[in-house]
Amino acid sequence: MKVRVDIRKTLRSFDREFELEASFSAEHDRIVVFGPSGSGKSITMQCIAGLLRPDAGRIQIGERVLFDASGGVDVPPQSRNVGFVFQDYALFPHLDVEKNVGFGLGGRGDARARVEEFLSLFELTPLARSFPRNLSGGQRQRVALARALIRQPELLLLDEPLSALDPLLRERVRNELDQTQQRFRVPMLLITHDPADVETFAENLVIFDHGHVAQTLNLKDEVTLAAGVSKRERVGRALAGLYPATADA
Amino acid sequence: MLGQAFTPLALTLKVAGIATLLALLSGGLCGFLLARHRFVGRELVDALCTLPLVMPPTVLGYYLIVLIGRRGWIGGWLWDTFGINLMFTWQGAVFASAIVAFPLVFKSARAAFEGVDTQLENAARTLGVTELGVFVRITLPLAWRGILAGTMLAFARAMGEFGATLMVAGNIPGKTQTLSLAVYDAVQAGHDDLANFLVLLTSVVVVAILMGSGRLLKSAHA
Repeated sequence: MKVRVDIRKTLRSFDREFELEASFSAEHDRIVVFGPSGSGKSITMQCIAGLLRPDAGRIQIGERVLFDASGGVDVPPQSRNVGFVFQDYALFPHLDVEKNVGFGLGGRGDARARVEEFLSLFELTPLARSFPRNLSGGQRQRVALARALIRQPELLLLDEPLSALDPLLRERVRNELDQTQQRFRVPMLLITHDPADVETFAENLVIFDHGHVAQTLNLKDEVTLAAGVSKRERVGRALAGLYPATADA
Repeated sequence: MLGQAFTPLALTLKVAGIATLLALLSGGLCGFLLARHRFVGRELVDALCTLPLVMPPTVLGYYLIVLIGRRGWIGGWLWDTFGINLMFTWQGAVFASAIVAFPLVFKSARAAFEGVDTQLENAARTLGVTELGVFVRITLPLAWRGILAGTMLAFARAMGEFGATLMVAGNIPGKTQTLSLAVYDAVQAGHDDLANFLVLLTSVVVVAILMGSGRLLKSAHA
């Protein structure tokens, strides 16, 4: 899935101003957006989902233009067909697991069967009547994933999906996420500031810093990985180049 | 005595019921608008909407006469256009009670809507749900409890309304005389038995309503 983002947005709060100027393009199915907190990753993702409106620029996934300021295109979030897994999962607290998972299906005729299928795929069938407040972190993430994937999105956006979990659980849920992505073959764009996520997921790596894209790396194709440089080393070098720059800022 | 009590009781329930409904609709709408939209003078509008809560009911009643009296701004227009007069009618009492009850719904609705995490609404949007669907399926169910609590208070307040109602609708037995006005009348006329009975009746009805709605609230979220 080709994802092309080229946007500008200025955010003002009462005491400061944040300038985002993000431009990158990625062609693989596992895109990782990496960068320290406050570097503009989340804002960029919300712009892709249509929850925030960029001041200028263009967003394209595959052949579809989702936003184009000069062309007057701004597809509403409802029609973007982009799945979103929020940092704290944003499960609906007043609905049980089954209703959460089926929330976006509306009145489709096969909705019931599909919900049942997804509950069982994500091992949620015994929890169908449970409410989000009674679920563990890993279960919550499975509900959030099932809820987003049941609509067969063209692109799945994940905003630090593992940061809400305790470290012991994180490794296991990371593997689950890895397998889920492979099973559904859904292109995904994942935000993280955890190098372990980069190692597991990144085929395209986009490094954010201070509201700009500092670097983009292609970690899948053999060209870049040739000459005996492993993926881990490649990532290590890129990240090493980033952190000294931000430490004294 | 039962007959003397029944008429004001029925009138009180009718007036308070309709007034609460009006307060719920208008207060809910205003609460939502102020919770979700930023505009210049938002806090001034909030203060104006809260005014009926803090103003003496007689002052409020006077404002209402200026507004809906036959030569008032709205009242004059209603009279000239439709031949409708609100002064000294039970509809006038409804209007007065609704104004008095409005801030209670408005305040709790604004707080309840502000308490709904906008992230949840965004999540619903990315799931393809229309703006109306987001409101009906996410915002309203999550804010409902707070709004209902405010509505209960509004109903209790409307049932006990005295000052503004007296100014606007007068104290006409069988027409605009609600329970609280009937109690005042009975005490003034020295009918202690009737006063005792009316006071007891009012207390029982209010407690029953509060307990009933409390149970309703609980079971809705069990």
